[in-house]
Amino acid sequence: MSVLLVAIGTTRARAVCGSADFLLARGVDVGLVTVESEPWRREGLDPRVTLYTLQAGEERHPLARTGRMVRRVSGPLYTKVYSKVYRLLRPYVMWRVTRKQVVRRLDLSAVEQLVICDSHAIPIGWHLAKRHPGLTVGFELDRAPYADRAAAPAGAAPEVSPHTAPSGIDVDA
Amino acid sequence: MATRVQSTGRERARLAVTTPWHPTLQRPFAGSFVQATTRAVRDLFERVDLYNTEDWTGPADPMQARLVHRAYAALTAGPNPRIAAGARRTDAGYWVTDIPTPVTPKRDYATWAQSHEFSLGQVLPGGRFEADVVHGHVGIYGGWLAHRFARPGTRVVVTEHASFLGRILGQPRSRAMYAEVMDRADAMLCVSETLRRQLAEAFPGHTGKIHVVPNAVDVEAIPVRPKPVGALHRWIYVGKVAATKGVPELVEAFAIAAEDEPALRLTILGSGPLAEPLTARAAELGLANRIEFHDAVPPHRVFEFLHAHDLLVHPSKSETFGMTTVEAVGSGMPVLVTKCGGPQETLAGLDGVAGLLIDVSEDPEVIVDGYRRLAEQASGLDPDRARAELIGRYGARAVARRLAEVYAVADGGVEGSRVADGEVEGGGVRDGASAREHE
Repeated sequence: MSVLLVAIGTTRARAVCGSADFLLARGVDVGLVTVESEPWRREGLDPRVTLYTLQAGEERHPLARTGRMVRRVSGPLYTKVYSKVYRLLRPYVMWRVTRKQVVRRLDLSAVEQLVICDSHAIPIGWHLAKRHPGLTVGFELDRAPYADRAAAPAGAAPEVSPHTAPSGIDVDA
Repeated sequence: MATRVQSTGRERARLAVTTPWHPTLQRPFAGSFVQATTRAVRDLFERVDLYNTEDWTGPADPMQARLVHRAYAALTAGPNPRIAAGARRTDAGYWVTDIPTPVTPKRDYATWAQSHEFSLGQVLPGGRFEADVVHGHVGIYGGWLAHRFARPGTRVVVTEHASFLGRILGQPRSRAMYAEVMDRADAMLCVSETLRRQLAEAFPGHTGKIHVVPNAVDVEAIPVRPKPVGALHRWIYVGKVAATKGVPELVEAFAIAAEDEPALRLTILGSGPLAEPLTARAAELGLANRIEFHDAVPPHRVFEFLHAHDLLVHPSKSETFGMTTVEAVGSGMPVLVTKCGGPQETLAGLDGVAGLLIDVSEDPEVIVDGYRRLAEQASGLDPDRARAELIGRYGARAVARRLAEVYAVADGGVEGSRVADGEVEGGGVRDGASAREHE
């Protein structure tokens, strides 16, 4: 059993870290879909949370590759045209990367709750909800199912090596 | 014609509170005054529902923002929404529905208010507040939502707390929205006289419905320091470490006073943009070992710090209320506080009893002079009397009594109610007929 959190940025880091701590203390596996891992380490996210980072996958996306090519050819063209267009397409790209790197690697039937944790994560959350009609989705963790479980005392949790899902692995390939 | 809450003898009234500030997992210290005020009036109603529309800052790009809104709507709309907002019962006995509100980072109050309206509209059962009284906190946001979602005839009460009211009124669109709120509200409450004057100047046609009713502060629950203060050696500042709070002047003032008094110490408790520069300045002044910077702590821990110090120095440039000062006085601690708006009212009649009020100034000598005068008259302070006065002004019972008048419900429990057009029952506020002593 597990809970999957989606937070593209760290604007709501306190809530994300708080939810993760609550779940981990009760023996529930936690995954976090986000862009990059380092900001979460700085925010003090428990290293036992499995991170599914999208940054490398985004960089490998054909649209991003095109961007790098455009920048090499013409800086102004990149700034004035490409970056503006890419900004509009980025949510779609992020969803494509999520689908390739997370959805196809995870058994979403084993996920008890999907928690959309910030504003930027709402489109991805919506895509996931649409593809998985049986998935419980919320903007905050429903703690009720875990309330009866005794929380492990601080420091008693088993030491688990931090695991960051390898970014950029295109499982479709 | 004014609205009244009419007793039927069978059913009791319901209150809906709408606010952008209330403690959440992400912002555990936000809106503690809304929490205290709602708790204070809980027993006046059969049921109290609080709707907390929390800002979730999202993309700045309009197209991306639209995409977020569309996805949000798809998740929350329809008869069987994928994400249904659920109310949770608080320990205080009222119900809270937390409503994430995607907003853009651009400081546009009208657009923000419309975002809050959109989010609340997605989750509000029936698209209306099913309540006899609707209380909105902050004119643009809670007040706007009360105006948009209250049924015709429902009594609408709005409390203005915003220190940024001037900016709201400075934007034409949000000012126009505010005017609509003023038209609709049965009573407009300000937490300080400063705010009341500001609103009365902006909307002179509505002065009759604008009153000062402070936030509730649970002064009775504030732990009194175990030992009375002796010498005023250990100073503390609690709050945001920012220029608007006068913290740079405080550091300079401390340096001047500390030169003559080796026993003086200063703790700056809080975070903010000036924390690092002022830490460097303290080192530059050779006071690194006498000025301690400490990160913000949860509200319940603030009193540990207050009890371990002798004097709260609050040199802010502007405060609508000044909660820290009230809490310090409630804990039995002397205060040295600027006349920056709220404190003149919260400490009215208590200058020289609870501490000393000093002028707002860029000159650190003003703080030094205030400290020296206060140190001379410290033995004449009466912290017990000051605390008792604050309980009478801001304690839960006092504020509940005042709000019962404004809500036009009976104090000490509501016999029953239904909203109908007509006059206010005895003791109620009718277009500002009572509570005028605060104008």
